[in-house]
Amino acid sequence: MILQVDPRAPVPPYEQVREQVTSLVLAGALTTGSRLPSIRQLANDLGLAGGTVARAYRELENDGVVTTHGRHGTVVAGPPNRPAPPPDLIVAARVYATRASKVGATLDDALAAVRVAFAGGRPG
Amino acid sequence: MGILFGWLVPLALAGVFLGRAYADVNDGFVREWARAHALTLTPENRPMVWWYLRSARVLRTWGVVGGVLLPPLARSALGFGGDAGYPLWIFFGYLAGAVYAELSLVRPVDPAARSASLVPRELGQYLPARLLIAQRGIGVAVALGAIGVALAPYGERSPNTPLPHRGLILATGLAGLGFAFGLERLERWVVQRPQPSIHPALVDADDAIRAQSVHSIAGSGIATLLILFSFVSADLAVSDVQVLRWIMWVPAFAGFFLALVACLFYGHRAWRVRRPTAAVSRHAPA
Repeated sequence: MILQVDPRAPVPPYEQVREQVTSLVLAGALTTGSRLPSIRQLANDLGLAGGTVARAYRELENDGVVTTHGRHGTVVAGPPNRPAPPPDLIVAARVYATRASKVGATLDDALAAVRVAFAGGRPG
Repeated sequence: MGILFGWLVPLALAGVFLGRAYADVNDGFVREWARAHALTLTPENRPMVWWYLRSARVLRTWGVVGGVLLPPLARSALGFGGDAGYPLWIFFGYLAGAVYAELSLVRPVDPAARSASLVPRELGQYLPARLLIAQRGIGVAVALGAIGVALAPYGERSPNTPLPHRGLILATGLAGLGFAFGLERLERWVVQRPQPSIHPALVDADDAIRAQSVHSIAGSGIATLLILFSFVSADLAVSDVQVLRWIMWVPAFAGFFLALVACLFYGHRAWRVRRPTAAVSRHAPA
């Protein structure tokens, strides 16, 4: 199982890590009880700061995907607590993310644009 | 005679060993090393393996040559230092060469997208547990031996058998303990060094190289600790405690022999990295 992080992508690296680990858990490639690499190992391998990987692990822990057992490391706990978005929505989001990155938008810009679009599209 | 054995013979031996180090790593050597490590050589990983094996062999040999030649040079320049320390510096030089070889290995990286395996790397996968226990245990033994020297009674001595310098031997004990734990940290650091996963063949080669580096460091580190233990044992063997006078000559002499065995056997041992079962699918695309 290989993680890939694109430093030029508009999605922040911690979010890329979080998303890929979640996808692997949902796909069954990472089963409950599987141990994940230490923060230092993953940060070294991906060329990221330790804080970035630590944030990804923290977000995964908040989602209920992993649990941290101190010196025993980080272990997969199961699928995320929150329901996964429908597949059609993920496909649409990917198309939007690609177009947003082509015009140089950051994740924050793209999310702000989605909020504006939602606010404008609501009836009443 | 002094110049012959002090300089010419060591220089000649250094020349022979360095010549062999530069010449030994050929295609057959690389193939044999890969076979021993269960590594399949491919066009992707062969250059990295060849480069590491050659540089590691050359740098370790330079370390040994430095350990042989630098102490007499230092003695000539500074006017102190004894022959008894020779083996220590030889093994320490080997260790320095092994560390430098690991440091100088450039692992290929894809600048467009950084990649990493989700399989945890741990020291226990690269080094047998008994070696870890041995290096901790010998470090503790050096420290305990040094305390023993500090506490043991030493009577009057003739000028030919001077008393051990207790401050120096306590410093040796402390250094041995610190060295043992520093050695383990160094090994863990090597295991945690970046392993970019841009090609499965490169990851497999990297694992084999990493295991070789860790074994070279552990073998020479344990050898260094065993030499320190020999020094401490020799000091205990000249104490006034009769039982120590009988038994401590054994570790004092055996330490030198075991150091050589540790460095040559464990330092060069082909080790196949032990991964958890999840690692079977580690090359599957995410």
